[in-house]
Amino acid sequence: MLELHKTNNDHIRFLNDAINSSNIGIWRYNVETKAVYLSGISKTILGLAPLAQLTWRKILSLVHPDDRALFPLFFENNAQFGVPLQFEFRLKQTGQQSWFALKGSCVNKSDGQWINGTLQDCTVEKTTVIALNDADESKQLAIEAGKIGTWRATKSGHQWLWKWDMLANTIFKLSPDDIGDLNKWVELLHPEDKPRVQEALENSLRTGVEFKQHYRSILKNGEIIYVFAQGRVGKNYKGEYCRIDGVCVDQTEIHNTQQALKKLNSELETRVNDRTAQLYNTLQKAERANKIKSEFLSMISHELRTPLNGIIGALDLLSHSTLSGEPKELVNTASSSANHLITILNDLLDLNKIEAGKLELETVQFDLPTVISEVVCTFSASAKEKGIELIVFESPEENLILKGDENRFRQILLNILGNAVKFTNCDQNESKRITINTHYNRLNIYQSEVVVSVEDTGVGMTNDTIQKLFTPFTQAEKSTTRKFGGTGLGLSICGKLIDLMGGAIHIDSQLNHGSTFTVTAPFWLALSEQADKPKAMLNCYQIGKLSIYNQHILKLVQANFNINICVDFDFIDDSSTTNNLILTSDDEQFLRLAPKLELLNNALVYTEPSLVETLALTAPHLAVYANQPITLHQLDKHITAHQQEMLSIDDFSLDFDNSDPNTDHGTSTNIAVEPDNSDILLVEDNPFNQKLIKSQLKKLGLCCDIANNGAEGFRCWYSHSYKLILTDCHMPEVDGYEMTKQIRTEEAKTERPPIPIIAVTGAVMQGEKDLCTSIGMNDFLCKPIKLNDIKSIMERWYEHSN
Amino acid sequence: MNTQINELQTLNRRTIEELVGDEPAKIAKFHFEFLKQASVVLKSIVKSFNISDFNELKSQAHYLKTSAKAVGAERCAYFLETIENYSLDENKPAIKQVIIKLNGEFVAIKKELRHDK
Repeated sequence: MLELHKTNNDHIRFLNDAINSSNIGIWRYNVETKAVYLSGISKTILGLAPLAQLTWRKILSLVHPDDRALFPLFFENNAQFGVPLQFEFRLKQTGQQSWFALKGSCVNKSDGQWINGTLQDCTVEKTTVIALNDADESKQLAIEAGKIGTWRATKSGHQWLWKWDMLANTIFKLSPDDIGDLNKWVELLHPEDKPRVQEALENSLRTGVEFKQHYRSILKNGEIIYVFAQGRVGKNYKGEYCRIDGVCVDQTEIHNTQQALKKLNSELETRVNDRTAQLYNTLQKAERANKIKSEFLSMISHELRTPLNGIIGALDLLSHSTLSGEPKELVNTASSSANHLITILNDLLDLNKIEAGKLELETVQFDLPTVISEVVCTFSASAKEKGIELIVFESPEENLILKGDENRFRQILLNILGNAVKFTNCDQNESKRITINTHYNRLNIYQSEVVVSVEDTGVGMTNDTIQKLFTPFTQAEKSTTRKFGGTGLGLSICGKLIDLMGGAIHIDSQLNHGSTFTVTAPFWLALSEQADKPKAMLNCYQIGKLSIYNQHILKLVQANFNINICVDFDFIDDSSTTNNLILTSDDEQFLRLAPKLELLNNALVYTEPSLVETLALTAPHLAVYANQPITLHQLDKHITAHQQEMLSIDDFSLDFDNSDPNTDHGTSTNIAVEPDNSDILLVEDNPFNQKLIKSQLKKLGLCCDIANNGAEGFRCWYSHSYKLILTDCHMPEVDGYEMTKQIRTEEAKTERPPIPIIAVTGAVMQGEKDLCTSIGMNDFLCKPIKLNDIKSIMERWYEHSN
Repeated sequence: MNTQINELQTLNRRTIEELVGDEPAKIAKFHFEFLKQASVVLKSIVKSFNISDFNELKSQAHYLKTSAKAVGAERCAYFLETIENYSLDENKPAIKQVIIKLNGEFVAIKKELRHDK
């Protein structure tokens, strides 16, 4: 017994040592009383103090809530149905980090039913299993999502044992029984691909190189699929190739898509090639047509120009010959139309030249103010006639000598200003105004950019219209041609010319509000010609507050002259040879100062256009000019002309139209002075007055003889018998007074009865009347003679005469 | 005086009507005669001005003035009378400006008559 007891104790000690050294906790639980016993290791595993008093409820409270339900489930199943008690759980404190394995089994004893078991920390095993499961699931999902089949083979002796998954089986539409039978797979290989694929596979198994093949398989239903397969070979511990693992992917859909794409690309490429060829042919045709058109236009323009020049020349000669009114008007109309036609032909030639790249720009020296002045002068009269206010604000800065194509630049400005005048002159426009601004942008010491803007209050344009404005033969609207005329060539030429010059035309416009065309063009500067000329002196008198226009003139003259501003009119000194300039917008103040201005002979007056006539009449001795439109060049010209003492006879040719106005109407009224053998003698040196008085007498039923001066008058009186003499007083050679004296003396000598002599004079003074009476004249008529006056005189002196 | 000057017309058509009656054809003939005469006399005036022959200048101005008054060329007549006055003073700079204005008036008359046509 003692020996047996000793042996049992040895066994118990052995068990204790084994349990302690393997860190396995033990426990037991009474099913009826729910009494619990935990070993020290169990308590340590659960994080309890060694002497802690435990209850079943207390232990359950330590368990993670997610795992708590496992305890009653497993314990009851074990106690009642003998189901093995084995599960893992987590503690509330350690959370997801630690796992514990609980195992046990039910034992029936005399003191009741007990469940005995073990408790172990299985965190490492559990997390490894979880990770493995996760990885496996992830791989499986990815493979399924990618419809990737997996396959493998392992070497057993000299045999390779093959296996593949269901996905791979599905790709090849094999039955589940076929899995692992490599021949089933080989049978499906496309005959053209089979040798290559089989050889590659054998080579991989033999040499270990990676298996990687694209191949086709013909399925049992005849469908051809495209497969990509790849596999890697593994070795055993001896370094022998013992396994191969791989995947296979069905690429039929991708292949079909690629094929469709390739087909589409091919079709597209063909279509693009066809279209490119068509376009090229069309372009070739268009270029050929354009060339033919250009050549035709050029040829026809030249051909038309030659006879047209002949027509214009002939019309010019005809217009200078003696023509009566209507034929002359017809000649003028024909001449104007022919000139217009020449302008259009010139435009066509210009456009052709530019388009053919044959137009070459000239380089000549010029100055902007002269060009601006020429352009403004071209349109100032027509603008005024149309009621358009034309305003010019030139930069008063340095006057630069530019080098470039002056004519072409002028052509652009003429066109733009011409359009502004044309499109501002519409009936519905209440405020017709065109403003020209100029300035320079100095680019460097060699170049300067000229900026000229033309702003109008005309019809304006939409953005769409602006876009097509520079296209040849295109006008803003179709109605524009009907309403305003023109070929639509002008701006197109301007656009091309400014491009050639390296400049630009910027358009800012608003429909029904007007447009602003801004021309910018770079020009070279003539550096050697920039010698500073000494500025002349100029006295500048200001009357009243200066208007904007006069302020601008002041700026211009300040930039070009040495100005002496004068405001005191009490000390006007006209002894100096200095030019005088008067700026005024105040007509009332000007009129008040008029007597003082009498002393100021050598002066130019600039005033508002509306005041020019008034001031010119009030101060006839002063040159009066409108302060707008005025250009720097005109200002300079005015001052230069003012300095000249002589007048050029050429400037005073009235270009008199010799055609007799009455021949137009066919109602000729002969007022030629012919001797009538009348009893009235008219002594008058002025043929106009002769005709006038003769006509007036005729209206009274009378006629007269004419003598051209006093001497002739005396001879006529002496040799004829007249009842009345009408005589002018102031005549060359012998005047009316002297003739009267001679007649009265001769009458006295020869005892001839005194003839009534009537003075006809422009003088209206009483002294003149007295003089006439004192030398023997009988009465007096004031020029111009009214019909009633001459009638009274005739009644008084002619009808009562013997 | 100034108010009167402002009222002067380039061509007062009523004047010639009062002299010869309302006969457009005849009036047109006198307008034509006047311009014809003016074109000749103006050149003489310029020549006299350039050689400073103030007597001749005055005489020419007077000569044309009566014709101008007859056709109602009121501003012309005014300028011609002004030339007569300045000729007495031999005020050459003043005469120069008046001749220029006179020329402008002739042009204006011509334009007005052409416009009528």
